Amino acid sequence: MTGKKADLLQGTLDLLVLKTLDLESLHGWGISKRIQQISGGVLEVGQGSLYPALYRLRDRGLVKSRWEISEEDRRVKVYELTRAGREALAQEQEDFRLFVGAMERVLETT
Amino acid sequence: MHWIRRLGWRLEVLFRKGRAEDELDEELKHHLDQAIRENLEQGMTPAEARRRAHVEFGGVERTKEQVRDVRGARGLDDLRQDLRYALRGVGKSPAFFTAVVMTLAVGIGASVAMFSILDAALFHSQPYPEPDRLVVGRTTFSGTVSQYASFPDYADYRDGSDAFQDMAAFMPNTMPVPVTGHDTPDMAAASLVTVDFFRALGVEPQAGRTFIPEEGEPNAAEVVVISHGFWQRWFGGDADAVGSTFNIAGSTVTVVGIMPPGFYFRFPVDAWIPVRRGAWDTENRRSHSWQAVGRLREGVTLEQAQAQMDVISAQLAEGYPDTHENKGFLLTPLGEALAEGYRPALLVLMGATALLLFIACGNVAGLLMARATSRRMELSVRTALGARRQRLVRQLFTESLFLAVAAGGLGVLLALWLQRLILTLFPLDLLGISEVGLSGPMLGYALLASLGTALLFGAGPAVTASQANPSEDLRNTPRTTSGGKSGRVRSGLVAAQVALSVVLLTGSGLLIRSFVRLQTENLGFQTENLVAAQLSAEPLKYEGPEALSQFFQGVLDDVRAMPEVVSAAFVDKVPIRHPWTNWSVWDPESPPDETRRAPSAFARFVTPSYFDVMGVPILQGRDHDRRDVDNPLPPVVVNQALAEALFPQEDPIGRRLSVNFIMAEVREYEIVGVVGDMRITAVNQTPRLQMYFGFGEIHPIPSHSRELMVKTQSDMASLIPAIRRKVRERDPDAPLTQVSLMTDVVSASLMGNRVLSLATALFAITALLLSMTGLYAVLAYHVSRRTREIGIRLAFGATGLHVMRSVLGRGLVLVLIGLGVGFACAFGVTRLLQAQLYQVGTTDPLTFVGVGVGLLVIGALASLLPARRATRVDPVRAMQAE
Repeated sequence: MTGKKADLLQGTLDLLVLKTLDLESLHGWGISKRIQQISGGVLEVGQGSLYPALYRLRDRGLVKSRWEISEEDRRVKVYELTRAGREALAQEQEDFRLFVGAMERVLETT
Repeated sequence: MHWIRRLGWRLEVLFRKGRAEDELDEELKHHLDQAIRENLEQGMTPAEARRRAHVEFGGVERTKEQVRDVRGARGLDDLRQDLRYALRGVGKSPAFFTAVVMTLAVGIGASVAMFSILDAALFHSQPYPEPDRLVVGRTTFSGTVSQYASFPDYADYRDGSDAFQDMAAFMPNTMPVPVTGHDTPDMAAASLVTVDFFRALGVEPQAGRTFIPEEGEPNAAEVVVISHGFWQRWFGGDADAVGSTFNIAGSTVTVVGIMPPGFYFRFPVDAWIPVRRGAWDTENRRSHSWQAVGRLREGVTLEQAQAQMDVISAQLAEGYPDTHENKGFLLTPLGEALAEGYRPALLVLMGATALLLFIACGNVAGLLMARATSRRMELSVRTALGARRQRLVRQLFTESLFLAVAAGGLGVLLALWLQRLILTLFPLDLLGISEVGLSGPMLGYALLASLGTALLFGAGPAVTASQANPSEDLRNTPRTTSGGKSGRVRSGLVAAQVALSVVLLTGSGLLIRSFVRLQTENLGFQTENLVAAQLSAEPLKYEGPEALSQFFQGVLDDVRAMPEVVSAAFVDKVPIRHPWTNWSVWDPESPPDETRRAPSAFARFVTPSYFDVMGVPILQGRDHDRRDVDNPLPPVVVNQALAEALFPQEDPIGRRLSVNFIMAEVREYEIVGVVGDMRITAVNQTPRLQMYFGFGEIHPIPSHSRELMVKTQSDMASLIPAIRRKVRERDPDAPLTQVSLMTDVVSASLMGNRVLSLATALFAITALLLSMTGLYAVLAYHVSRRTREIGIRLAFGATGLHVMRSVLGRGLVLVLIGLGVGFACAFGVTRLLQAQLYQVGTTDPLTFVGVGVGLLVIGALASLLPARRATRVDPVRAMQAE
């Protein structure tokens, strides 16, 4: 069961991260908390999978990172959406909606 | 633009790995700290808060690995770890590692050394520009190739076709000629060539020039081109050599050019002399003493040129029906012609090397497979602990790579050393190779073979091992399986190795027997206590045959007077060492006609007592005598073969013999004696018709040199300087050269056979050793896997003998299978050795039986050790061990 969830999550995790960063630039923990709040607990387990996703997105040029000093005087790595990222977000959102729509139609017919 | 940044990240991770790791650490730590803080706020205990935070995060290490994956930083890091691991593995089992590396190195080394030499010998031995356009032209009589052509024929072929850019002719042997007028008088090797010889080969001189067409005309100035070696040796590298004059065989010549160092064509030459139109032996169509070398015109193929030659041959047959019927002119690429004598032997060695390489790889494969199976457990554990398959395979891959590289490096060194060894044993400069490098393609091939083996048999089984369900493997005791499939493959490998060894052993056995036969062959004359030397008289000093014969006779008398000398004589050419001339002979009372061709007999010129010196029996009549000069008909001594051929069942003494001399002149002789047959051309050539003339008879090629044959009582080493002294006393300007013992001359002629048999024997023994170690390893492994079973059998009353018999039997079965397959292959393969064998059949039963028996005995011995170990199994311990 956990395995299945993780697989689904891979595909949509990138989308979630992009969307989250669209609203605000955040560090890893912040992104994790925000996704938890919005998605209502999807990311309870396996928060670690966030980080490979972030680095992957950075590799693709959809986000960029920088080091900042937080309010608690700690060095934190903050991620920000790039312009390419914004475009990708729009595209992937559209793709996802199409996908969900098709799935719903299929499931309804039975 | 983004890719630049990506590259930057990659490099940063590569070179500043520490920093990248620290930063990642910091990032993740921050995440976890925040999570822990949140949990504490919710009221958990610190321990609980930490635990919850980690659970919700997932595996920190795993996350780090995944990030590292994405960042592509793994490569170098992994490689370093793999190498460390591989080295540790070496430390743990040095014996295994050494065995694998040494075996592979031997296989690679031998193959590469052999193949590089063969490659150079068969394909690259010509230092001329565009060597594939060079061809050699030789006459064929009804299809049989003679090495030589006649000059007028050559001229016709040259002028009658347009296929050649240049076609030159050369005398296929060098003449030893005395040289004076510069350094101390010496002998030089002179080669007669046509003026376009160097142009055809396409090689430029180092200094001066080569011949111009005018120098081929009858009254042209006398010139020579000298070799670099001769220039250094006799001219002392004198800068003024070009243009200077010296005396060669009585004529004053001018040096017009010096060839570059390393220039070599067919044989070592000191001076090339241009042959002039109309000079001796260029007019006689029936005297075949030349060879043609030509350069094909651009774009003309060998077939096209050959076709043109055939047309001209037909024309000649029409024009000269008596002599040119069934006579042709064969064109062969230069490389092929040069290697002809050696090609079969070299190919045999090539085959043996390939077999050895396969056997070596087989051994390595077996060793690696055994190791892979024993590591199954380890790999299962690691998989269960979370190692990814890809990672494991890559690690095993690296290990095998490490092995292969180590073996390859060692193999290359071995190859270089072996090459040097082979070149000192085998005078390959006869093939035109002065030095050999390592052939690139061959190196690649050998490395590929060994790499392939290492990877296939090292990483392959490991891949399948890691694929297996780890929990299953961990549950099963490895001892219940006897490595089923891998065990069968290994047994098959051993049987194959034995088969290959059989082929090598039989081949080498045949060659050795053949060589022994050659060595012990009766040559028809005594080789012990016999010294041969070449003596030359300064032509200017001794003008005319009278003076010359007086000088030689004087030397003979002086030498004969020496106390340790039994007898001495002169002959014009030493048996075995020098080629011979032959002329047609017939009984004048029944001359040849269209139905009967006159046979040809080998001719030699001798002084009286030659046969005594050589230990050849005089069967009838008498030897030459000094008083024969007064005879009406000049005398000749013939050998038994000739007597029986021309005068069967008659007394040949007193009969006359007609001889067709080289200038188409027919002379008559009186037969005064019959002597035993001698093997004179080569050890493996049965004696043909032979006849011996006295030196009083005018030799068609006036020569100032003869071969001195001296029969001594014993201890020849001290005698040689004494002989030299005697000669020098009579004439200080007469050099005595090529002094050797007859036994050495014969031995040298067998050099090729000796080397071939030694080399294949070496290969065969190595192959045998490798196969037997393979057999031993398989059986030892088998015993170790079956320890429990053996223990049970022993506990139930089986005697040690029973157990031993079963193991021994297993080993012998493998050997028998190998023998069977091997013999089957050997029957076919040894046929290829036909040309190398002398009086030994390709299916010589003695050799085959010997190999079979030997292998069974050695196989039994190899099986004995594991068999004995099996009897030592302690039944109690065996059953306890799990």
